[in-house]
Amino acid sequence: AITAGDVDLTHKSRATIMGETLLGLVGNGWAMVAADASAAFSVIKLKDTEDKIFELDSHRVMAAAGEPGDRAQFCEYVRKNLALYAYQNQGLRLSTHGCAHYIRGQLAEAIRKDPQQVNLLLVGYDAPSEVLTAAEQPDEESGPSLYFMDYLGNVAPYAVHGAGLRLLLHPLHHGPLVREEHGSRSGQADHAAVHQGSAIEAGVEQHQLLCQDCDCR
Amino acid sequence: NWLTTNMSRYDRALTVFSPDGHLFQAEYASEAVRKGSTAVGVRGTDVVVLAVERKSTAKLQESRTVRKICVLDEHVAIAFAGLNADARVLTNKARVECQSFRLTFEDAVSVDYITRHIAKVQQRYTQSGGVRSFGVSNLVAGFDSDGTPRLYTTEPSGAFSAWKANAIGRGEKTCREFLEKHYTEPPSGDDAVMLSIRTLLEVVESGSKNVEVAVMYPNAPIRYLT
Repeated sequence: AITAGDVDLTHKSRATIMGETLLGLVGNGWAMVAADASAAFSVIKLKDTEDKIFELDSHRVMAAAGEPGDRAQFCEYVRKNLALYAYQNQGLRLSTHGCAHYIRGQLAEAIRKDPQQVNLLLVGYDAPSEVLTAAEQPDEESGPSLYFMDYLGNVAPYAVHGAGLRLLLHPLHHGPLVREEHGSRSGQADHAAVHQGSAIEAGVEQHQLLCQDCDCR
Repeated sequence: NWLTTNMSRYDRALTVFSPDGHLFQAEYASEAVRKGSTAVGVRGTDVVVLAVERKSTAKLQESRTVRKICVLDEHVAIAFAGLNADARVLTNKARVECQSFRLTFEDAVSVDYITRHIAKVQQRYTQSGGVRSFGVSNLVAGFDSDGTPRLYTTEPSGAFSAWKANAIGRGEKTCREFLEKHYTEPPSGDDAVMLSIRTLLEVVESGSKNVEVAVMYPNAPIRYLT
């Protein structure tokens, strides 16, 4: 695995790369999101232990980047509204697809009234329905999934936000596709290493990983 | 004939007092509550129990969709007596308030707070024009963040208070008398469950399909007994 000590251009790239990095991956039965941990104001680094990953509920995790106040407020707002939905509907939780579109709707309304400067990556795992057969199962509502949302209310199947976007020109760039050979847990470790590598290239020192799979870990 | 007394001139509008100081609409709302199925609440040393009378449903009706004990948040539940639809509206307002409180204060509501909120809503509807009061009494049961069990009752008038054990609805008088006789000291665990079921059985035919019981312990999800 690549460690921070191997790379010596970090201090230079930190100064030039503004903004934050979020990465998301979907694998065979799991989905992962990583976020850098720095809170910076242009060249001044305020903090490198910032937690930008929010658990929305037991099966959904969101990584957020952008204006710190908006990021925290918006994510908390989404989390509480999803909790309310569960209480109002006897514990039924929205699918990841439903969550993504609810969030997208909130962002789209906000852009013309009360713009929130947050870019998001949402990952989640939906247990397949017990009633429908495998053929009837809607693709977007079973298994792991990843959604990219930006402050304008766009939703897309990309996997990367911010500075990382420019630098990820290596095998990961074909996006949130299943990598059959990396379906196992050891595959996750490989991906973690790749994450670390690309994160180091993006000039961040520390980051967090949160994996979502059927065990909702 | 009571209809020809002063009552009839002062009971139309909610916002009008009668000469002898009654708000008749609010009192009539309590009458609606007394027609509803019974609910009993018992607060123990480390547990709160809600037991409700399950009205018989029509043959084709899905009885499990008729919920009389509703969860407001992970540590508070509510049982009601009276008009189902009014209760649904109140419960939803309370649920929204629970999450709104969490968003603002990053903390869970105390049972007192949420009861006060529900009671405030009920009172507001007794003092506005063009609305009628909620024909619902509530038993709000749960735990504060320090683990203390709490039980509160609200009424259509908007009055509320804390109770060690209480009953609302059709059999409230009988059940309350039974509780006053048998609740000597705060029961614990299973004793509280037994007490609430025995109380309810004073007014309900015995049989598992006539009674629904929910048990709450601190830091644990609510458990429905079948």
